[in-house]
Amino acid sequence: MLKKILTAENCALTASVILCAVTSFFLFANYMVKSRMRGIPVIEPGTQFVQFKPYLTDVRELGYLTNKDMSEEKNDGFFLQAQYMLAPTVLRLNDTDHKMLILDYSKPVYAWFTMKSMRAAPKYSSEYGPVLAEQTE
Amino acid sequence: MTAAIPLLASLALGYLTLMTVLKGVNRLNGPLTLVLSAGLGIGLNAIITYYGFLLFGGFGRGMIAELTGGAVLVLVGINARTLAAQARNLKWRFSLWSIPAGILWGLALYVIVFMAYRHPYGEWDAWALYNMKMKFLIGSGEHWKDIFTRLHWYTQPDYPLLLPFINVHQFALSQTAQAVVPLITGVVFSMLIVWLLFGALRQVAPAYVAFFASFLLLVNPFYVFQGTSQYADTVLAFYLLASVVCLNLTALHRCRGMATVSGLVMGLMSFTKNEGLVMSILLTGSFGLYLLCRRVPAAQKKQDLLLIPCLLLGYAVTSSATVILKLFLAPANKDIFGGAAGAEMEYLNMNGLTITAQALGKELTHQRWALMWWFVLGLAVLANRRLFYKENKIYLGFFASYLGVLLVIYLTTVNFDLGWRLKSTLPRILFYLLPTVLFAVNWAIYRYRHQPPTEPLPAAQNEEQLDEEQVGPPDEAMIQEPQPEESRESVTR
Repeated sequence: MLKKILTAENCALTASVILCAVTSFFLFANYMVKSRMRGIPVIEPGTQFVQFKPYLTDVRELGYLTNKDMSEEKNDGFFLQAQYMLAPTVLRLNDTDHKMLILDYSKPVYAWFTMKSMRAAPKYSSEYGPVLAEQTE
Repeated sequence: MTAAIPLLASLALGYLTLMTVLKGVNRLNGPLTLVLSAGLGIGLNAIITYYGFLLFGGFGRGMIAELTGGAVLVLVGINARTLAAQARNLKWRFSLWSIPAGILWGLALYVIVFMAYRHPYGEWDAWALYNMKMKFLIGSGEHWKDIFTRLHWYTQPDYPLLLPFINVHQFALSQTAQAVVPLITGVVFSMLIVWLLFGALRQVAPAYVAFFASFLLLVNPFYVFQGTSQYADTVLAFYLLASVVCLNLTALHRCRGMATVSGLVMGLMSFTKNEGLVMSILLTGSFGLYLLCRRVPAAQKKQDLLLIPCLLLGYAVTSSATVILKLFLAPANKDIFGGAAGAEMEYLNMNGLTITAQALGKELTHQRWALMWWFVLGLAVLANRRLFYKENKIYLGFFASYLGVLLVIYLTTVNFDLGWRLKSTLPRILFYLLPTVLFAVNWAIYRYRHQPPTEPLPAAQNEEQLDEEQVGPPDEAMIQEPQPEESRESVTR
């Protein structure tokens, strides 16, 4: 009798039902936590570069100059966020051979020094730090 | 609302393709037919869009709409008679079980959509790679091939582009905002995986059994999170499961049409991610080896061998997109086998092996999986020897070889820290393998529940007899519904 009840199929079904019940509880808890965060706005990646977009409508490529840690382990500085936000414009990392440049430095003084040495003028300075500049020569 | 238009177009294209390939003798159950049609159609439309880009030089709503409409119309023309006959004989079967199942699925869908809106731009790789490429494909006009040549290698320019093209197709045929399209794709594929698992298990198990086995995924918080993260892993998980299900049915019934469908699905998988390409090759190899080693009479062996060209034909049709991309467009991959280029491989030693094994153990037992892998282990123990029986050998061979490939890839890591790489990739690998693993263990338990192979195999004659009795005419043996106990017993005996 017991052998008839304790088949692999019955055991598997029972385990499935129990696990469904347990994980449903976890999911419900997860849902409640998230629903409490309903009012918190979700910010799009690369929002700090969004103000550059109007200046780049016809720009196919630009240089992205930075002194931040660009390893993948450190999430590439903000390079990929900028690339996502400004696509389809291609961002060339630390490539100065472009008229338009984004300067994303750890301190504003580095950005201003770079602009001075490259004879570039700021087009737009974001309140988050990055500067969009245009080389004059 | 307009988001439904491309999905319906995909469903139609997929269904008509299934009908064309299976030559009107499709006897898969309803859910399986619907889900396979949807998945196949979405993938085929993405491939059509990709070829549209290659031929017409970039994005165009009109071009994509015309190509999709044209493909559907051609297939309607080919299947006109069968469609008319099907419309006449259309029957709607209703069971009481579908009411609670529908309510629970509806609730789960609500939760999934809610969770998806809590991270509407997806997770890191999703927006940085796939969603960015979708924006690029839509906005770059004739310069869309800059994806492969001008973008930084952090954006993985060598990755296949099925997911971005699925999103481009979805965007082109609807009025949906660009940012919402990947969210819809994530939700759709998360649900399709569960329904595919349900439909596949429904062939050998009662509805409530198939329901609970598949519903487990939908209530797993980590599955919901990953599914709505907009990664290509969700799409990969679907096509991997679909490939295994189709190959399973092909081997079981020696159906050439099904072999071609398997090939089509595996070709789509190869265009999803580099891992998909590897998996499609390993699955084809595992399937071919199984057919070659299967001990059957000469006449059936001939039928078996005829399945291989049918599979390769389907595979060639859809994987042509991957071949063109890999040979003519994309640069070489820098992350995999990077050491071959002469870099020092610091993890190709016992230390690397230990780090990998520890990370795997830690991930499998991590609380975010909510005991899921313990449950899988329990089912595998329950399935016992049935796991190694008949067509189950196909995916066992596949899993073993794929784990071997993954190990080699991890040990030859050169561009990253191995610990970081394992931490960021293992959860996603386990995520896309999970539905297939669940299918494999459940199939092993329920498919041969009445007649497990109690006797060892030395009698080749016995094996031959088993196969002979199991197989009907190639195209007619497809299981439609779980059969009554006696007939199912006769099938397995």
